[in-house]
Amino acid sequence: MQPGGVPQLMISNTETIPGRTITATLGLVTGSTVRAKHVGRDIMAGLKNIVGGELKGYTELLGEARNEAMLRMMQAASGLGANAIVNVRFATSAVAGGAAELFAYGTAVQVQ
Amino acid sequence: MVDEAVAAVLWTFLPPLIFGGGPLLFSWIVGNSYQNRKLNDTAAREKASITAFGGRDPLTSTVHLYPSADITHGRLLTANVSIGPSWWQFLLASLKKIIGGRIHVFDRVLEFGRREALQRLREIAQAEGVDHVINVRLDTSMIVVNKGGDSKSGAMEIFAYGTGVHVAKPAPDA
Repeated sequence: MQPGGVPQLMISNTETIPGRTITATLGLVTGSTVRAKHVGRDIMAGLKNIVGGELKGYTELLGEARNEAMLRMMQAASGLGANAIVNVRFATSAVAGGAAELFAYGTAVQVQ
Repeated sequence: MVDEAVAAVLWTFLPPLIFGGGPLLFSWIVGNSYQNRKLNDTAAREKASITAFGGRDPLTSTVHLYPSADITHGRLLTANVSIGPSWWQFLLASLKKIIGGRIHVFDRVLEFGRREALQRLREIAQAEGVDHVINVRLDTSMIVVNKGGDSKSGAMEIFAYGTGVHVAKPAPDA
C-alpha cells in the first residue's frame, strides 16, 4: 500500500470474515472524522424541508464523511499489519450544532 | 358600497393569508404528493429487487443463516439516507404535542427513510452480486435538531449496513 492509498482489507460486521479463519487478533482499531455542514447545503436543505423527504446534500456529506472514518480505521489496521477488520460498528453523534462526528471501530485481525 | 366593503376586507386579510400561509399550503399540497410518490417509488424498487433475488429478501439481521463452510467470501456493504419532515408535518406535530400521543405524520417520514435505506442496501447488494446480506443493522441519528416552537428545519440520517456474502449452496427454504 502506498502512503495515503486505500489499504486492501477485508471488512465485515460479523464475528469472522466469512469463509476465512482468523489466525491472530491484533486489537481494536478506530477511525473518526468530525464534519460540519456548510451554509450552502444548509440553505438547500432548509428549502427542501418545505416539502420534506430526502435531503440529498446531507446524504452525500455523511456518506463521504463515513467513508473517511472507515479509511482511517483501515489505515490504522494496516499499520498494525492486519489484513482484515471484523465486527465493525458505527456511531454518529452531534458534537455541536451543525457538526457531527462519524466514528467507525472494529477489531483488526489476520485471516487465512 | 357592499363591493367596496368586500374589497377592503379582502385587501386586509388576503395578503397575509397568501404570504403567510402560502408556503405552508404549498408544503401541505406539494409535500404530501411528493412524499407519497417517493414512498411508492421505493415500494416498487423493493418489489423489483426481491424479484431479482428470486422472490426472497436478501437482507437478514441474523448472522448464522448458513453454515460458515458454505460461505465463500463476504464484505461490508453500507447505505445511507438523510430525511426531513415537511413544514406542514412540523406544524401538525407541534399541534399534536399539546395533547400528546402518536404523531402519525412523523411515522410516515421515518417509514420512508428506513425503507429507502434498506432498499439502497439491496440495490448495492445486487450491484455487488452477493447472494445475501447478513447481520444487517440500522442506525438512526439526528443531524439537524428541531428546536421546537416555530422552527421548521430538522433532519435525521438513517444508515444501514451489513455483510454481503456469497454462498456456495442455494438458500435454505424458509
